[in-house]
Amino acid sequence: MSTRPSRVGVQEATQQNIKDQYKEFTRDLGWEPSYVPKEEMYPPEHAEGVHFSDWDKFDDPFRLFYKDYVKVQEKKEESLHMVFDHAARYDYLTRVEATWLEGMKLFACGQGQTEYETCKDHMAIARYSPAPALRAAALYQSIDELRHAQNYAHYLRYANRKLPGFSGWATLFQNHWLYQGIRHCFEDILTANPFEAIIGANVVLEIGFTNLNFVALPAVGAANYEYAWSQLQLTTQSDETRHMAIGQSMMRTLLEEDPRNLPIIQRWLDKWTWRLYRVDALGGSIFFDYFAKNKVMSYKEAFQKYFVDDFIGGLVADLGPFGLKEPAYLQYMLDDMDQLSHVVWKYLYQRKDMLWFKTFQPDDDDREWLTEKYPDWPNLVGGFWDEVRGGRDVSNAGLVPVCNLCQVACMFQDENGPMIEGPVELDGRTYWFCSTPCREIFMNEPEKYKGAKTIVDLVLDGAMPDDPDEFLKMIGISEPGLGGDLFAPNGEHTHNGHSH
Amino acid sequence: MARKTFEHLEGQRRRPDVYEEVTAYVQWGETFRDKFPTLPNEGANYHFPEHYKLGYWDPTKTRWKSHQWESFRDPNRLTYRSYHEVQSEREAALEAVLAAARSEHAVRYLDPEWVETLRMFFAPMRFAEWGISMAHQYVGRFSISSLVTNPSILQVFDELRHTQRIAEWTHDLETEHGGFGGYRAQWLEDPMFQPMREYLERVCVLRDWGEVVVATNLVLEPLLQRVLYRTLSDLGNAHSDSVLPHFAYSVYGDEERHWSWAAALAAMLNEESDENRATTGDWIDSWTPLALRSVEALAPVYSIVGKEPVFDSALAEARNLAADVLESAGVTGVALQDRPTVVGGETS
Amino acid sequence: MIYALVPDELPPRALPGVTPSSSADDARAAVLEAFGEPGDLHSVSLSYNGTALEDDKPLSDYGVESHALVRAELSR
Repeated sequence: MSTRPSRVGVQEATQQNIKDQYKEFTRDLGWEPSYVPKEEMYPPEHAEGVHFSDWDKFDDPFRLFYKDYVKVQEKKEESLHMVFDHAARYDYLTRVEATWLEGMKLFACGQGQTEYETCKDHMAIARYSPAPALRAAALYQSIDELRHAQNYAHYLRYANRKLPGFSGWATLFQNHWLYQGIRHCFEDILTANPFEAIIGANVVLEIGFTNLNFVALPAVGAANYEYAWSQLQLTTQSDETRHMAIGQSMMRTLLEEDPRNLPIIQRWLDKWTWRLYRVDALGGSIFFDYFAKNKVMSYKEAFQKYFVDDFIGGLVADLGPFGLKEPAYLQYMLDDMDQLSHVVWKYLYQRKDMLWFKTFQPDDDDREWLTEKYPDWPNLVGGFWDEVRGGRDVSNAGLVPVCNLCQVACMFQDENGPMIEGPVELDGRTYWFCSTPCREIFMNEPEKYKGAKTIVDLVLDGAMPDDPDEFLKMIGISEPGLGGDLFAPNGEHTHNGHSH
Repeated sequence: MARKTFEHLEGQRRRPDVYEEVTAYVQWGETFRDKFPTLPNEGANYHFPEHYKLGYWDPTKTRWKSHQWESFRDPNRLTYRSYHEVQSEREAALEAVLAAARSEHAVRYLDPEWVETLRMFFAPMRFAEWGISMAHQYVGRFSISSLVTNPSILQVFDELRHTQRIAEWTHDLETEHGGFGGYRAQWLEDPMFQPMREYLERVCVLRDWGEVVVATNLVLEPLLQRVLYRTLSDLGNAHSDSVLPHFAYSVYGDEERHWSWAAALAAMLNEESDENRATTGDWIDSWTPLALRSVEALAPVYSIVGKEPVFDSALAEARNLAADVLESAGVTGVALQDRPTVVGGETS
Repeated sequence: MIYALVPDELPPRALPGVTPSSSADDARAAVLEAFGEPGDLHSVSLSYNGTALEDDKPLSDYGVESHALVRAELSR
């Protein structure tokens, strides 16, 4: 029998007990089953590879009660939607820079699904993480991600009322070649074990790339008069500080616990920094360097500050004493910075008729800024844009080799020349890779990756429609005129939506 | 050029509302196939091998089959935003009740019989709530459409809410009266909870999300709700408990939502094919006996305050409620009607 | 698929219809088609694994298989 506690005010006792109470809500909720085998209720394979003696020792990364969560989140929602409502009432989209608005079509049609995928992912972490403290934390994260997914859909609703290009996101995200890299990467996270998924989603994405996506990028957005979307980015970021805590505490706890975890964590860090770099930097860089009419900083500068100095620098300073090193492929990323956005932008421009947003050639101001920020710009793509200005038709819809890991066209080069690797034969199939990191990551887990087909693989299999219009419909381009050039060669808008 | 709605929602008779626009077609894959041209290879191109770690959502994760998953509408039409509007209000109301109870030291004046009753059942119920939450975490992950995932995840979160409120009020009861700390042993050993624990353990290892939805929302929750929370809140009122009735009322509101969305889903699927109707029926038949045992085993809760007859009528009402819920799902709960009540648990 | 890589024109482009049994001339014509614009004057030289594809022998004689990357130099 329990003894009667000494009389203290109930309020006071409740306050004192918050920490213990929170433990009751997290670690103490599970129980040892006796009607079903324990390994069916808590499958041990989900701790695959990680060494840990007592999962209950895992600390709660943050202590949050449902009642406080709903209160805080309801307020955040109210302020965000007030901004959306005002923006709709005052027709804010007509004030956004036309070039930036085209970028929003690319960003908003795919962002929600990545949030949604993380929501599904963290539901499984909540259910199957062997560390009880992570379960409740993952549960809050999952519902946060549901919030983000739905708020991007809210944004799309507002934009769709006014402008074309915000309507076909469901098909575009699933089928368009430009989103396949994101899908492949996020479905890879989704099917990883809980710890690997946390390294990918919580550490690399939400600590590593978060300030680029949710602090620096909205600043650029605001400079281009897109206040509602910038507000959406910031409020999303406000939830992510919790998610970062999960990633940080998990990494530290695993490294402190057992030195055998170090090579596992290092391998995941190497893999996910590269995989998410390919998705996030590739997509993000053209916003800083091209979609922004009013430029704030170059992607190269932003990447150096937020990813290299803050994230990698911080991580190595913090966890270096346990032996953690900077990611194996960091030098590839740094080398990539001088070409990344320019190569991607050129590639998109060549395929502008297969897109749902418009691209455009850099004007004289852009060229000056790009050359200042990237001195190699004239050599790399200056000639190409001169040809465009001269009226040459540079469009190209032909097949190109696409990387069987990152699903991006093999278009990158370094000081030794083109980085494409392949063909690589494996079990009767041929694979191409855009670079050494993608090939190595693929070859570390060939069983996982070898079955997936790129869009080009599907075309070569005869599985995609031959008819160009049918092909466009298949990838989500259901009406003419969404893509193409935003400006005529003389620099005037071809866009019939609006102009300044 | 501007559109009234998104491409994937065009062609509906009514203009889609906010709920539909932010919850439909967010999850790519199988459910798109009847609406759009989809990439070969089952819609989801990357479909990493099935055995690969946590796996993917796909049609094999439930026996229910449908060509209209994206036509499902949660009758509550909740989004993240509207859910938080509703729940922050409910939580504030409950918080006010607790604050008033604390300032009045209400817990001190509960009569001993009632305290003993609370001791028997209240604190261990956190595990039951969490068990349903765990089961729905599986649904949230593997359900095939965002329209199903949405209410399921909100439900996961509801159950967390109930769990935390039970734990919180237990602290007050423990501090004032003692004897509320043995909830884990009660859950694991007390015969009163064993059928329910068995039920939830079995639900937690299901690998068919449709079956989880039926077993939790259509079979267990209506029975449990009526036998336990609803009736005990009446008894609580009779014993001047100023907290439990409000808590029970608040839980009831959540759970009505749970069975209403599950019933709407099952009704849509049962309407679509006889195979689905048979599947739903199989699940109901296989889970009902243990569900009844789970609530029948709770009879001793009523004995302290001498209310055995109340239990019998509560059980009868629970069966009726469960039968109504099943009827709204388009199936009949034969097992609910035919089986004689065996008070105390053991049936075989 | 056999792709042609022009160093200043990444990514490489497919040469539809070109197979290991095609001649180097066929391959050159396909490269012109893939990278050129009607009316442009080009000369194309091809190489595979460092060996120039100069005469009219089938590509397979140079070791080119059905999935391969040949290098092309274009002059305009």
